[in-house]
Amino acid sequence: MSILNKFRGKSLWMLHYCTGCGAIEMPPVMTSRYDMERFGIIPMATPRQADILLITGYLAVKTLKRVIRTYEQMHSPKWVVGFGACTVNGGMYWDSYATIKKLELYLPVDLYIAGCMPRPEAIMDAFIELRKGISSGKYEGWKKYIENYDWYKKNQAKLFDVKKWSVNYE
Amino acid sequence: MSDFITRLKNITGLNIHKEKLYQASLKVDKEKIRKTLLDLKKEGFLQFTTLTCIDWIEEKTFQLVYHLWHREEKLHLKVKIDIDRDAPIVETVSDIYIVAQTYEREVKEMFGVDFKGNKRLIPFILEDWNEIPPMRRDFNTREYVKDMYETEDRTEEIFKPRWKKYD
Ligand code: SF4
Repeated sequence: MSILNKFRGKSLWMLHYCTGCGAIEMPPVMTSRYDMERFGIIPMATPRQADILLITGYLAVKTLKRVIRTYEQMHSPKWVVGFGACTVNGGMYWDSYATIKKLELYLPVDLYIAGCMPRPEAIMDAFIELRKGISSGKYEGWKKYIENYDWYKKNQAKLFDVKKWSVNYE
Repeated sequence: MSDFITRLKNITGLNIHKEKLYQASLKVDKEKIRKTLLDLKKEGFLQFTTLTCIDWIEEKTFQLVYHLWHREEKLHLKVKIDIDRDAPIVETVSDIYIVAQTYEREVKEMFGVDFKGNKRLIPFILEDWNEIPPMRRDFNTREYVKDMYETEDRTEEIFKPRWKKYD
């Protein structure tokens, strides 16, 4: 297992779910200015082929549904990175009726990046930390999600009907 | 600009106040809103910019503000009506300006104002919403947040995310 982890940490495909304003810091990180490809991390367009789910900012209950669905489509092993104060405790939307406050109640967040919004340096730093952690087998949120599926589903069910997934695209 | 407003006043008989260089406003009765907008559209206010609602809870009214824009004269005109807060119902203008359909849908969802004659007044953004419309001032956001979302750390921690420590 450890040898697998070692290689996993060297090649990561990231799905960035850009819901919040912090997403604006991602283009410099991905492109030539900061160039995260140096660290073996590349953006991926589909959940089924991705390893990291990066959630950049606030999530309304409505988007949370989509994020959970996306997360459940991803193959294990997978990691969730919460990006920005909004995923930590609601940030400046702490008293908004529409957004969730603590992402860790609904998805197993492996790493938080604090800041509103975090600068590219902080994001790079988090990626390096994530790489190290994955190589050493430290991050295993996806296992926790499977083991404590009921607990997560119970928290999600408080906000919406998890069985119905009512999606209104009109 | 002032010439245009004077001309407009003469033609439509409306009591338009000039507010700023490119802004004017006008208050009409709730019953006259359709006629007023029809008249103004004929005078060249072809763009319906937006529809907003203000909750004057102390006066028990909702104020609806219809924002129109005249491209040639560069005039932003705000047409205001007051409606009863307890029976918030008003006639639609979505057949005069088709875009108003969506704005009315939004005001209906956020304030609970009903628009008679709007053909597409179905739910808009909110999903699974069982409370009173959230933009009404008597909706207590803090209470709702406290009930709905947890902000305190739980004792039965399942999985604690990591933080990077800087020494
Ligand atoms: S943490 Fe700040 S920058 Fe990020 S989504 Fe929230 S408000 Fe926007």
